[in-house]
Amino acid sequence: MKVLVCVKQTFDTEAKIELKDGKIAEAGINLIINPYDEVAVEGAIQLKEKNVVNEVVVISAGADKAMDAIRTALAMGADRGILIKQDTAADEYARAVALAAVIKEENPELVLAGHVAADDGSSQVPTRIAEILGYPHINVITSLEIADGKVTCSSEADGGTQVTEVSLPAVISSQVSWNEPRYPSMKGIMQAKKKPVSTVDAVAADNKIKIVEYALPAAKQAGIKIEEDPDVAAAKLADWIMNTAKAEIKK
Amino acid sequence: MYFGFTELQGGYDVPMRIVGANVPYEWLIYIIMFIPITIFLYGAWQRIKLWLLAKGEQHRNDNLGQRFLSWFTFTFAQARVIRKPFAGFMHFLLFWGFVVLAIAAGVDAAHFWLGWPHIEGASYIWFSWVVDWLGFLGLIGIIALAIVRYIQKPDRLNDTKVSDGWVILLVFTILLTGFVIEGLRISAQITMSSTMQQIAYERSASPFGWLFAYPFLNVSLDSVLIWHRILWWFHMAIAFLLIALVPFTKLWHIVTGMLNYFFRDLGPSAVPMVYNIEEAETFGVENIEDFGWKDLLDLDACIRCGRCQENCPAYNTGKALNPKITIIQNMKKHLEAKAPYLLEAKAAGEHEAAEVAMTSEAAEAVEEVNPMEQSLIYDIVTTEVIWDCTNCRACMEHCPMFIEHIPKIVEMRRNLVMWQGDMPSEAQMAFTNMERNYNPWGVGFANRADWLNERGIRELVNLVPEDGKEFEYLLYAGCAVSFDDRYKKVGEALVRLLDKAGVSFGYLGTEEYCCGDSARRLGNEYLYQTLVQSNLDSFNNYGVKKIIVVCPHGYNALKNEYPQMGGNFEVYHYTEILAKLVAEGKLKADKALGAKITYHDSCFLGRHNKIYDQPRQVLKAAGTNLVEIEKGKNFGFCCGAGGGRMWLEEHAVEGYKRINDTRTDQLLVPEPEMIVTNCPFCLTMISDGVKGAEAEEKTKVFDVAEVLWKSMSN
Repeated sequence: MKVLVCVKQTFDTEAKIELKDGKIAEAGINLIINPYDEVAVEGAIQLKEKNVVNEVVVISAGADKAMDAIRTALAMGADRGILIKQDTAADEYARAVALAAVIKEENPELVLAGHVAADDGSSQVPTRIAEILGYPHINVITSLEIADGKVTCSSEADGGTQVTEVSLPAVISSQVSWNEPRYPSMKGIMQAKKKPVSTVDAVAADNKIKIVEYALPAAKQAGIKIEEDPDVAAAKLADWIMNTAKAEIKK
Repeated sequence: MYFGFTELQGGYDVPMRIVGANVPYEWLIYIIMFIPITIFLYGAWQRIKLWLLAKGEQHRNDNLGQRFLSWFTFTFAQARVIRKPFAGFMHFLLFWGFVVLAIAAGVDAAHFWLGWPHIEGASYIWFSWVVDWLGFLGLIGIIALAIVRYIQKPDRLNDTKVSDGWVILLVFTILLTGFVIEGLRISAQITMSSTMQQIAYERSASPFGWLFAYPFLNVSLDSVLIWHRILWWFHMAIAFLLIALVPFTKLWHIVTGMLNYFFRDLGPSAVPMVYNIEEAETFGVENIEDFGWKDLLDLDACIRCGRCQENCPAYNTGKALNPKITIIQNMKKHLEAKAPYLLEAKAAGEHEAAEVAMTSEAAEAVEEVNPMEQSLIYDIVTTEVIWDCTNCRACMEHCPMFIEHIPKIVEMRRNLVMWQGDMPSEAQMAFTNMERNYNPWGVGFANRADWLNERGIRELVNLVPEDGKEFEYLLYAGCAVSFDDRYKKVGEALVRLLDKAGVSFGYLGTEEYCCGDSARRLGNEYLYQTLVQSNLDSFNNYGVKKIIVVCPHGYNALKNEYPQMGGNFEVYHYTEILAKLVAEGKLKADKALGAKITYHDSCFLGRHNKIYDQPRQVLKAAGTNLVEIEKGKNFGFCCGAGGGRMWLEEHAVEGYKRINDTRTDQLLVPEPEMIVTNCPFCLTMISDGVKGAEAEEKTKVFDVAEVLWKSMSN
């Protein structure tokens, strides 16, 4: 059985985002494998270790740099990679189209992905892929079992868990709590260098959305500290609430 | 007359070392002696063969002069052994007793084989006096050591074996029979002398032999001479037994100790470097034979004195790690079990190794488990033990044999991390953080210099990449100053002090990276080297020559480990600089604090780098009343955060407190107003400990820099 894992290369979650000419400045930003996708890669490798699947293929749509994300997944234990060369300006629709085209060709029994990317947070691509391919789809899973051509997953539901069963092939997207991704060993990194990665061009698809503007969140204002005896402090605080912060008091 | 005695010229009035008197066929002993010597050499070769199984590289043939000096000092002055006040001194006596007695025996053999003359007259009296005294002191030594092991029973000797008793008995018997023989001989001489004056010199020459002669004075001369002969042969037999047993018993430490004093690591405290890591085919040590020869020699050098165990923070808090037993002795047993297979494989050629192991005669010796199938890191030492270590160096500091425990642990961690990919998830998190944001906390690296503005000291600092001013010292602030809110205050105090003293210093901000210490000591050598390279590039780019480091971990790495990668700078810990500034009068405390304080010696400043005095000088200058605690200086007990353990969870073992709580209790004994540290990890761990002990109201935890800054009106 073959599993295909979609990974996206994203900004490091701690990166300091700055805008330059209305766009996100990429200088000084470390790129990582999307942490949600990393969980999907780990899930696939664990399935392989349990001999449920025999091949784990990693695909990523993006710039040449995305090769690093693929290599990381290979170092973790995936078998081979496919880099789909695509402009990073591609939107979720265009990405899903590009990925779905390759998936169709690879024809895996199972497609895994993180349910959301840490950068744009749009949470659309796995669902779109399932739609394009006409596969069943389970989102935000926290556990997965495969038996008799069916996959059973638990996923987070409001205030509880939902257990869903679908037949294969299917697209499953992971929640971070599914597992704890491994740290690639040097052995893994060395082996990854020898694992095959093919490069294909993305099928042409026009973006359906247009990003109008990026803006950084307003800088958080420093808090105020009133260092007085409690009776004085209370009065000052009340004064600050009413006159500086101009809070409205609803009754 | 009686055999032997008659042949001496001038009767007994000439003081002389009588060799073989009253012992027929005495000359045989000089032939027989080659039997124990042969057995000794054979046994020694069997042990040496084990060390030669080592595949790892270790080079210890540099600085021969210094090595010779080390061998001499630590063997003859027993400089490390005597650090343990009572047992160490008793060992010193026993050692010298045996050295001198061996020389005396050697003189006799030289007389026989090389025709050395008899020692006569005043020389004899002096020679004999020295031998007698030291033999007696040796006897006291062995009795005292037996009392320590069997009556006092300190916890460090918690693995006493039957063989320990036999060795003590053997040594004791050799010494005692020596005196009895001497007593019998003197008693015979007294009886056979015409006047007491004739033999009186023996009283000076052999004061203890003289005492041993008394009981025999009333025994018939015939019996005395017969017993003298019997005991003489018995004495020689057990002495030869002892020589033959050396390589097969704990007595082997006589040889391995001297070898370890010669081949010990002479360098500063540093983890061995992995060169050409990109081309390495394996990482760390997976099998016992992957160690270097010195590591395997270390296993033979362990005499099980337990000084490591006694000082180990992990052992003392009930952890699985016990440097003596669960590291060294377990590895030794494993090597011995595995060696026959390895030797056979080696003889048969490396390629057939696996087959040989399965089919060989050695396989017949298998008891329950095939040692070839036992994993060093999983079955013998175990991962629990490997991760327990805080790299505090107490074991290495107190080991009288200079056994190198930490490098062995780090080698096994390297294998776990870089080869097996098996590590605690917290370690994984720390690695990812260091990899992506160049600090173990994982805060975005772009914010590395933000603490300057947060603490309001931006204008005091020459942030070199932005300000570009010249500087004498680079202030390597490190991750804790940059990202730990509590430690930012320490960074602030230090910056204000340096500024006040007019020190010219620069700071690299976002072009400074994690020092890599935690990565290296957790076994991630690759990540460590990546970080070091980034720092070296930065340092070289800005022409750095002198560096002031805040965190002792970074200090140790920059000072002792960066040179392995070509980073040679003048590296100072900030306490060294402050002590200098205080001594030069550039920093003057003008409101002496007077507070009662205790000081915690961090492992990496203390034992790893022997900086004990400078921080104390600074604290004294600040007018504090420093109360020394029991476990201070080189006996300082770890806070629990070294060796990368800062990033791993410590679970208290039932019946024990965690390491930091244990240490905090020690520091709280004098009920200080402040506990002062010099390390961000210690500050965190001990602050937690003080909270845990609910002593926050009474006792505050500060860093040395903060204390000095407080003592100055600004």
